[in-house]
Amino acid sequence: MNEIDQLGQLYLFRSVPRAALRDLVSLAPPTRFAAGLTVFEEGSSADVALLLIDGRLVATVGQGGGAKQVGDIRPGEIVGEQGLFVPGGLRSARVMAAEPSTALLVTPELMDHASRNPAIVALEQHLLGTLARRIRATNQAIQLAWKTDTSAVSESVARPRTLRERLSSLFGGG
Amino acid sequence: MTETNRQPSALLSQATELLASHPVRGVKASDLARVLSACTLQRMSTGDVLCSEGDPGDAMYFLLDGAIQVSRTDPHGRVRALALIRSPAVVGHMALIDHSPRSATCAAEGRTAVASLDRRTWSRILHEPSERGMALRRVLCASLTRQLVGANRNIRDLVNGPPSKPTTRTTRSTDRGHKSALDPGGNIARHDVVEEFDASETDLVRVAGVLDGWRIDQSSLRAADQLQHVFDEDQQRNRRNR
Repeated sequence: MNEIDQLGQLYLFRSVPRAALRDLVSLAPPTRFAAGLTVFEEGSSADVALLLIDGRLVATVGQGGGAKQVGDIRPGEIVGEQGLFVPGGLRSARVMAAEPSTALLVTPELMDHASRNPAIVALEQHLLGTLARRIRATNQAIQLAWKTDTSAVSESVARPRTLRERLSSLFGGG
Repeated sequence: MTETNRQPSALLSQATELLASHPVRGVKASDLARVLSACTLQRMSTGDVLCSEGDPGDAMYFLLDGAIQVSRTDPHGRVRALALIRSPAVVGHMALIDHSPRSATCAAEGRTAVASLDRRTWSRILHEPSERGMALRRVLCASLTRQLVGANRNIRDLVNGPPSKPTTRTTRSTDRGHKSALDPGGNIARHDVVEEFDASETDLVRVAGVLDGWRIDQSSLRAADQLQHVFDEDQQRNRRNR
């Protein structure tokens, strides 16, 4: 299966003509990442996003033993998009390839150059849905941190007690 | 008063102000002006309601002039102010994107001008492979990105503690203890500050407000029952949307 076929199988491109996908691939050839390779470093400049075509990526925050996995990115998902529309952003997490992976590198320049390409239109619509889902998921995690009842926790079980610890267990860091 | 928003020079000026206040990469003012031209202009006075808590989202709004008071009703039926949003701003878009009901009531504060984009027109423009379609999509993506990045930054501050500053002594007190640990004049190790710090309920509500696109006025968030109400409402809403 070639890269255009792989893109065509992604749900976000279900209505996009093959010719538009061919144009997209000619402008942004897919990049391959070996398993274990760090794709984005936490705190680095957020100047490019990745649309995962094949494989799996994981996002973590924090260092060493305190690192926490906060994302599991599957084909069709986009990661690192915050620099596409808002200038000056930094990576909020480290992203690495959990297995051999192939991704489309999406830059602001690509999106400007191909703004009328139906694939880019579909990508922007997909991003809207992705961002909205992340906002709702974060909201639910905050509610979980707030609602967690620590009064009934057995002393023999080590569980987060303070709000700070609960947030840390949900979002990483600390 | 409602009118169609059609004066080209005014539209360009309004779009320029919106983009100056909320920069969006790759969007020209002329393209955003084409989005505004599809809106209905509403001129409002103090107390005029733009949208009500719990209502379905039938439009999004570009706040062009004046200000909007955001409020929610607490369990005792009291209306509590959450935030005052000043122009220029984009509000009410989450309800269109994820079909959630309005999370708060928005009412004009003083003389206010709002460009309303109804759901049907919004959906049509959103799917257009045109410059104005791109402008709308990117303005929305940028707004959601800011909400998410702002909330993530707040969460990180709550987890890691505030940035360390010179202090002379430390004090243990409330769940806002990090503030009292920041007396000027001396030095304190960052982990010492963190040891004293814990997030408060108000901190969490502020993050939730940033996520919803509101800038929460902390002074209006004192009552614990109100905080509980905010989260109960959100949980019910999320359940309905699943």
